[in-house]
Amino acid sequence: MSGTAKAMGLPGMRPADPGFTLFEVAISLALVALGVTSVLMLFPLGIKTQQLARFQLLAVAKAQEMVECFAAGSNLNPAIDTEAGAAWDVAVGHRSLSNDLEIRLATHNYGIAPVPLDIARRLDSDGDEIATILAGGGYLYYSQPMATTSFFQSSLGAFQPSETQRLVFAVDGYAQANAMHSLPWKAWPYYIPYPSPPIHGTHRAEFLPADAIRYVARGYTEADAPSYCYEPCNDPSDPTFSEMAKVFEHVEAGTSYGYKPYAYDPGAFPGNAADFSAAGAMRYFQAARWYAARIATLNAWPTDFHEPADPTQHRRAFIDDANAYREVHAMRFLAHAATCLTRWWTHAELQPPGLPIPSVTIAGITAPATAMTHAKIVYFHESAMNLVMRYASSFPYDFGAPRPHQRATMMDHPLIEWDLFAPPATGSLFGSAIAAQQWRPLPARPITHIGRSYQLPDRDIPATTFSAGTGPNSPIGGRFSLAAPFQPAERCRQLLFWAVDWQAYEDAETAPGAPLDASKYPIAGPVLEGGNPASVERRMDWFDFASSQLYAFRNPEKVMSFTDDVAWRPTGDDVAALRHGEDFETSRDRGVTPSAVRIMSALHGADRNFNGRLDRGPLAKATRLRAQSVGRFNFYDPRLTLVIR
Amino acid sequence: MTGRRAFTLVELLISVALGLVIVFVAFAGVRVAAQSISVVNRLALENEVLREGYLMANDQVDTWTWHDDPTAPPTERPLRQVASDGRGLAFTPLRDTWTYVADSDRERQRGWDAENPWSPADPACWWRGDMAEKAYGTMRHGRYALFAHVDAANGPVDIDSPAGSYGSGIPVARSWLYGQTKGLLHGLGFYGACDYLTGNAVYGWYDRWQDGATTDGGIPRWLVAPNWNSSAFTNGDGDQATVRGLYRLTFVTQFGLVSPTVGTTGDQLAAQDRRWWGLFGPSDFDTWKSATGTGRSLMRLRPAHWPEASVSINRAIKNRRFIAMSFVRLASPLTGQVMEFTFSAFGTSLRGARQQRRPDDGWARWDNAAGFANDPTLDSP
Repeated sequence: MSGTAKAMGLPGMRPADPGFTLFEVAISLALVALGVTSVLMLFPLGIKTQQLARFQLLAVAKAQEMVECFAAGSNLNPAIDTEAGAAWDVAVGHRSLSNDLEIRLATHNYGIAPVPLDIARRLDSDGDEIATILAGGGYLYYSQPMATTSFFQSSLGAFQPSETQRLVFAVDGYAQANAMHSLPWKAWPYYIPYPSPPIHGTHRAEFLPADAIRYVARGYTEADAPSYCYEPCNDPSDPTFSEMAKVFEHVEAGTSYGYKPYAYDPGAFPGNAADFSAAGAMRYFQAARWYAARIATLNAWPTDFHEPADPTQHRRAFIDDANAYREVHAMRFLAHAATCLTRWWTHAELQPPGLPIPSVTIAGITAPATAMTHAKIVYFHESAMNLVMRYASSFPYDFGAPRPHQRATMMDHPLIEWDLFAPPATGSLFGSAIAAQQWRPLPARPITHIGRSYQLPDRDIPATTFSAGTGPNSPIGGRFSLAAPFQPAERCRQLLFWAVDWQAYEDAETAPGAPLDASKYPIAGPVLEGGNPASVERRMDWFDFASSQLYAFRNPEKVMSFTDDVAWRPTGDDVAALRHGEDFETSRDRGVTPSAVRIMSALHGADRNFNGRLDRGPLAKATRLRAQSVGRFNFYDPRLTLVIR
Repeated sequence: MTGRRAFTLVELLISVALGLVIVFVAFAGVRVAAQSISVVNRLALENEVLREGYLMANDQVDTWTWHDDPTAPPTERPLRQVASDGRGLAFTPLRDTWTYVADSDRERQRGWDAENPWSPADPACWWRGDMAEKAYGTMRHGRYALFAHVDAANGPVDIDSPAGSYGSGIPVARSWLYGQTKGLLHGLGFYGACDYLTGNAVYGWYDRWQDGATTDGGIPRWLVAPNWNSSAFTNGDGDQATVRGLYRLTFVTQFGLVSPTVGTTGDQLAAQDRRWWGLFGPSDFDTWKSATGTGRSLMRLRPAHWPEASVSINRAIKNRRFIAMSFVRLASPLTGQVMEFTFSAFGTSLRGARQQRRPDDGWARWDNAAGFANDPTLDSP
């Protein structure tokens, strides 16, 4: 039999191999299908890999921008009050101004905002990192659509969509104890121009000592701009300050002396003829000379300590380092008042033997007669500059004299941190019985001549304000750490990025904003109303909120948050006009009315992709999404409050 | 005859059906695979282009070659020009606008000294003047021009005012800081001067009094007078009428670095460079963006199906923050879809960029090796 016949299984032949059964074919097909399916499943992986690569790129750019903004963005908030009798009564003592990346950036101008908590809680992540951060009180953030520029967000105009908003991110690692933004009791350093008259300016007619010199700034009414002279109130126990009143304004035997009669009283302006005259300038200079003589008696210095032996040799050293601030003040006033003479006398008239300056006796102390020359005026000016610059460099923890505006360097800022290892101070909020507490400040060195503040010149800053202790490394406890070396692991924090399409949720724009840290509310400092302390609620409604002057405050979603209920509106509705946007003195989130509270807290939701339309995604609220881990970036919060380039 | 029976018709039909299933599955699989590969390729291509755009933007933030390419011929470096009135632009060699004159007396030195560290302990670096002197003041605090005067480097000065002359030929000791402030504003424009001056700089100086052009004491009014005309140095914010620092100058409005493409002549560019920009609405933003943006297409030649990518950088100073706003934009030729991502970036300052460039052409070589002589730069005398 031929092989062919055998193969065909013909009768009589050896039985051929049986064919595949249907079952076998089915199994084979299943295997083939499994194989094909497995291969097919690999293709989406490629897509996911590329999507991840896209998000990693966006995350890198965002992380870079956040660090740039943190380092270079302004940390000024010109609208807020900065001084109070207790740290909890003024915004600079609150968390919103801590030198912490997420606190600084989660604001309406710096590009990140918290994902609504309702939505953030629906997001799963590897190791439950998102849930852990939320459970610890942290926020999950999303990015504004455009770069963080310090421009008003609403001025950024039309922008193209990007996938940056599908990134969510959080900060892992504990906030650090860094330098205080500002000392709440006294917003030191005070910067003033040198030379200058005694510090004066607007101040409500409250918290002032009974003997404070009050006046009304020119062109204003008492109601608009009540003003006073601060420095004489700075320290009633130190004549260095109280005697400054005579440099500002003093009447002796019916004659006015000082800066204010010369420069501020009605005669100082065209059309009047009073002390804005050569005689008035002369009496201002006499007052400054009298002050120098008075300071000399305080220190047993020669009465003419300020007079040059050779006017071309300007002063560069102090007579007495312990009282350097007194010399600084004396020369500052002399220089300022002497220069005022040049408005009235010419260079020729100020040549030797000079302009006769009569002696003056005030309060029993006499400034002897002298003669003023151009050379001496230059001497006073240059000496005042030399001394204050030396003083600022040499005595950073002496608050006796303000810092020169012409040298506003970071080195003039004293290092002070909150003492986290000592019992906090306790008390109650101003104008209420609400209990409050805050850590005590811990400076690198004892502060000398702290005096009183500009805002509350009617009360001392008690020594108990500061943390006590006599540790080995610091006169005030050994716990001061701002200048201490540290290991990276002690301070390193991480920015964690995930990718998740959270805006696909049906309530992506209608969900209420994340709970707002109370320190984000720009509350006014202590104020009186009708002679009584204004309530906390009243202080919350006290001053105008202006977007350009309150970077660190209000809801981070403020610009895009809705000012009214939008839940009833159809998807796609034009809601651009309902966005809070930027404002100047027209804020709708100010105060404690229900409407303002809802807006401040972004309870109406927000136009979170800033497209002007009400968007609702396809995902139901009950759906959970898995956030894909994208990247991690190490960073450090700077220890000092600073802006760098 | 006995033997195995043949396939039944049903079996054949089933076999054919199963075969069809295999073919369908295989076809679908291949189709999905092809689509997936296509999507992956597109995404990979876009990602690569975006990545290149991101790197290009960062490179620009550091090298500034779109503002001024030191390897380009002079005709393609418009920001090196000098306007007809002698004013310079951001990349004009300072020696072309502000002649350096050495002097053993520091206060008499004129021109830019790149080696000067501007120490805060150096009395020459302290601003002298009346910070309360207003544009409409009465000079009640006296004549501060007698302590420092911008012309004092040239010799004794005359100090006049509406209240009368203080005197003629008055020797004034200080001049250097005023000269630096004026010289930088003259030589580099608003953005450039702000980049060079210290963070605590006071933008003002005393000059010879001129009725209407200066304050009574001699401060040029264009430095202090509130002015809501954008072709000005100061804005009208708060009606502030005194000298001020960079934060207040850029508190409401900002300075922008002019794009080399908004004009061809030095006069045209200087006019756009010396102004403030107020971004109060979207149209303002678009105007500012086009006037200050430097951009490039990522690929001049590309396959037609590749996405079109472009990168642009806008520079501004707002709230004293020096911002390099970077845009990376992608447009699909297939779908028309446009995506863009923006970020602000760290990078080299203008001063750093100028020190990368030789005064004539080419990159400046720097080395701290012993005996190495660094190349001159745009800041060199």
